[in-house]
Amino acid sequence: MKIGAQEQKFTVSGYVYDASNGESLIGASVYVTHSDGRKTGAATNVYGFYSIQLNEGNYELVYSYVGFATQIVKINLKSNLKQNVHLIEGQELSEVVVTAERKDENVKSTDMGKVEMGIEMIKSIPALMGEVDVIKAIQLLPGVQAAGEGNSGIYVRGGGPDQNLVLLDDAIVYNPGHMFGFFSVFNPDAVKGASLTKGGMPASYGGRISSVIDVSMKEGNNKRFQMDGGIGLISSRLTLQGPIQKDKSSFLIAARRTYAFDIAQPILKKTDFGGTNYNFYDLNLKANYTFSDKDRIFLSGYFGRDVFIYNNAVNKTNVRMPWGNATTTLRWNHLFSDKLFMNTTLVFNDYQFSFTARQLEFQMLVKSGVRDFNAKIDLDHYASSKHKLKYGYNYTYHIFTPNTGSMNSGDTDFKIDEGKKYAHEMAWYVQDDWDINDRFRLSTGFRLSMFQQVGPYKYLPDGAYGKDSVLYKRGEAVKTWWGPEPRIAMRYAINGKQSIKAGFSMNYQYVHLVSSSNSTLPTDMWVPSSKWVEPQWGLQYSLGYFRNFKDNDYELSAEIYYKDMKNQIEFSESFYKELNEEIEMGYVFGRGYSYGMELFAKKSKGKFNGWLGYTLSYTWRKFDMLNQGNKFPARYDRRHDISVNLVYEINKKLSLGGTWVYATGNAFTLPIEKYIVDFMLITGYGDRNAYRIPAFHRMDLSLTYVPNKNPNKRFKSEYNFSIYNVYNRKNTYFIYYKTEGNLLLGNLTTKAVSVSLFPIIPSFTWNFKF
Amino acid sequence: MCFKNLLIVAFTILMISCEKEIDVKLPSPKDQIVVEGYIENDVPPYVFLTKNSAYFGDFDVNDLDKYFVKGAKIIVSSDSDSIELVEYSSELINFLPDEEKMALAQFFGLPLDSNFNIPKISVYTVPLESSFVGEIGKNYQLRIEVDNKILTATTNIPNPVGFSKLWTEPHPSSQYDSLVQLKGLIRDPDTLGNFYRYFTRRNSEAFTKNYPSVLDDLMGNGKEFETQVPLGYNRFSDEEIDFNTFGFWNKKDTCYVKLAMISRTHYDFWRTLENELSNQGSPFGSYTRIRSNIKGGLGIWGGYGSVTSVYYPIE
Repeated sequence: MKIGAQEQKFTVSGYVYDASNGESLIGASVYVTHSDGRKTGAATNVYGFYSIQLNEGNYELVYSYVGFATQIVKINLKSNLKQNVHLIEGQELSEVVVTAERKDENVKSTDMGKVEMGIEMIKSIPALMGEVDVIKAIQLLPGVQAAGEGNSGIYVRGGGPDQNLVLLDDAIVYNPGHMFGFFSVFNPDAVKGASLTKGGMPASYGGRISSVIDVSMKEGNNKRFQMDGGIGLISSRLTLQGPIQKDKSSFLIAARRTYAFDIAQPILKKTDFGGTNYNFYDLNLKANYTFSDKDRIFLSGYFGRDVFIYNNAVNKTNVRMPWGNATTTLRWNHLFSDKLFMNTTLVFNDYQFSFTARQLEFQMLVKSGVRDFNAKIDLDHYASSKHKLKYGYNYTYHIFTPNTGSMNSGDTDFKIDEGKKYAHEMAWYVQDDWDINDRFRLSTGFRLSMFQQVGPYKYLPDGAYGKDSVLYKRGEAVKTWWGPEPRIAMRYAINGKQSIKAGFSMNYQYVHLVSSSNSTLPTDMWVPSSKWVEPQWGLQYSLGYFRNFKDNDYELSAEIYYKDMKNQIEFSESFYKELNEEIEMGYVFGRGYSYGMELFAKKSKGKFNGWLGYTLSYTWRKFDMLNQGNKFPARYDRRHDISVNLVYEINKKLSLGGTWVYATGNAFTLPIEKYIVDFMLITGYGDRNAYRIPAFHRMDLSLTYVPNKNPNKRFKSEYNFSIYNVYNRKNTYFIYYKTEGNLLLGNLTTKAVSVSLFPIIPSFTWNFKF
Repeated sequence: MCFKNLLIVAFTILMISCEKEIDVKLPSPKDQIVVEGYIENDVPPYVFLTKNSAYFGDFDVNDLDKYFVKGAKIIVSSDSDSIELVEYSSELINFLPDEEKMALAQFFGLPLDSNFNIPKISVYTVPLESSFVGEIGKNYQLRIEVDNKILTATTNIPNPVGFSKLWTEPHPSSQYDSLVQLKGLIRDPDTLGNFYRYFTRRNSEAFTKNYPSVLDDLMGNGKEFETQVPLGYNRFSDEEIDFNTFGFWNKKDTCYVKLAMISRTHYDFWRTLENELSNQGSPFGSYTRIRSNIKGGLGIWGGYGSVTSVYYPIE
């Protein structure tokens, strides 16, 4: 290498692909080792693109990715170079080193509290009724609390379930749950991978204060036609993908549907509940076209519905309740130069819930939902070998429909209309990853967000019981907020195997989920910040220690955090909903704060691998209008949360997986007294969330058998046998009180009843690939 | 909304759920006095005073008496007048002639046992010789001294608004042609924020209430609005509710409807209380803390500005 003088810098850039199907690989690592032992490298972005800058000279470029054989490319760098690489999936070549993890990635990156999960990892986890689930896998990570058994609502570092930004190919998924939250909407066959960011959110993300769950759909095999599928206990899946024009364009269609209740129909027919049914389905579609190395477009779509039908012949009731999400994303990747990558995205997304009930002459229809039109531009600018910049702009037009509908009985009509709400949301951001020296990296970002509620809107100054209303015209600003959101993260490498990281972030959130119940239900409604509701905002500080052992065989991390959340929303303890009164009238506002420690140990190589996570945390709420103004634990305050996930490869054909989870019971409010009013027994309640349901714990096991591992055979199949809740623990789902009888008739009794959901459930799934 | 109830049904049908009775150790509540006092136009004020008890404590109906608080000093006062209430126990009331007992039972909505006796309770009201009655438009203060505690509350008797018209319509299903639904027309005052509570009585039975027993004027402020007047629910019957007949009146019934104007705080009390009652046992519902207007205790001191309207069946 030359010494002194001005060194001429050149750029090596390109894409990293999976050789078997042409899918771009997200977060693949590319690096060179200099003669003095220093390393220069980069990770591919969500479209598989990378760019690094090096002085003129000879290099060995090392490309590696989880589960794939590492590839080394020798170059003599004299000018800017385009280098696309196709990596080969590990299992198919035994003689090459297969990387289990991006080398030292956890120690080297500035990302804190970020976990990436490939679909293979997600699939290795035993699943309820054999339904592999992205969200369920994320719930096993430290710092993430599941709401309880079979609930896809997640609580990250003391934040609420609406404080997670859930994205599917850049489209916001407002309700990620199917079947009242028991399963998530992500069909595992259509998913490439998912990442969770629970702290130190980069400036490119915003709009939520707790976390980001970013799910990427597969692009579709552009080498050959492929069919994947599975038949399970409650649902079946089928995915078709293939090239439209080889190496240039491809498509993917994935469908999934449940049928458990269709099977039960003949039995139900003989009862008073004939025709009662429940099912959900998903449809994922994706197509992409590569014009050149510089331009590529992607079109992806998701459509899913849950349909619940309830018939009761006795009281002649008929209910139909469909709900679900639809999203469409159009993306255009453009390379302005080998240093400037642009992604332009247009998104439409829609969440709808409707409810129709009929009983004799009485009919009722209620609808609610949220619809977004979103456009954004993100630029990755590989400015120099020391600076990587990212900047962009994001715009969304929201339309919120709170409960609207009608009721009629005979010829009496009645309209419910709380009025739609409209809003503009915008954000500008810039972010710089700066390698100050080999040890020190600083990521600074700033996001400026804006939210504006606009007309048409009718404002009643004193709630519903106000004097004169104010009418806002279409597009007229009702209220505007600006949110400055600084983000800082840094890493100090003690040596190649150990590092310390620290982060600070400030986030604003302008949309809120209103739930009058204790579970994530389709009736939950999204409401915007408005005249009545201030935006939520949060601050998070975190500090962590990261360490790798035995050449990445083991990794260990410990993080502590403190999170402060302002303008948190709860319902008043004396809330009752009046017809035609805005639901916001029932809100009370306060502060939330949470602190804790997360330990994570992971073994990623060898026959025996898996992870262990432990979280110690405290989550509090303090509201002037709740609990007499005293602080109280949040419902999902978890003192201890443990998750263990292990996989053991018995032999080439057989592997055994197991998980065990333990969590302190949810906090809840107990009735403590009763008294007489109007000769009825009335219940009085104790301090808010002062009691705990019993601790939750459960073990699941799964056995996977792959009969033929011959790589030359196109048809591959896999049998998965799993047992959910192996030791049949009756975990309390909720406690309620049964009061029966009549005070004045002298037969009144009150009992506490614990309801648990899933006993031991074995299930069987057959998966195939062709 | 009925979503919640429906979701429970959905759950029971869909889920392999398992229920078991459990023992929950509850802390003992702080001792509280529960006030249930009313003042109505042309009716003397009366107050029931009871104690709270532990949630899982056995409630002994045969000894209801022990929940009633004795020996309190209760004063009801308006701007111009004041009176100390006296205590009557049902033992005393049970000496009254049957006719008067029945009238009282009707008024309080109490059942009479086979010997025409009122359950063992006690009530504070004006002395027999007093002519103190509620007057429209006045504010009334309540002050209670008992067991070294002082409880206070304020209410008012709003201007009454009666039904401007009552009529019946046939049951929607011809299967039940002996039943009718009662409808009424209310001419709501111009100002928003009028609250109503209504009571129904059929022929010579006791007054009954429906749930919700209160309504506001959000829907029909300042307008003449039509409302259904379902027959109240007989709380002392063990019969299962049949939704096809529930709330309907018989064709031959004489229908009495007492419509009372109440204050916002009085309305909030019943609204939260009835909301809590309807949510009880619902796993999806959150609890409701009942809004009381009693300083130093629980319960209600409520004024009624009432008018009773009658619908006579067409012969």
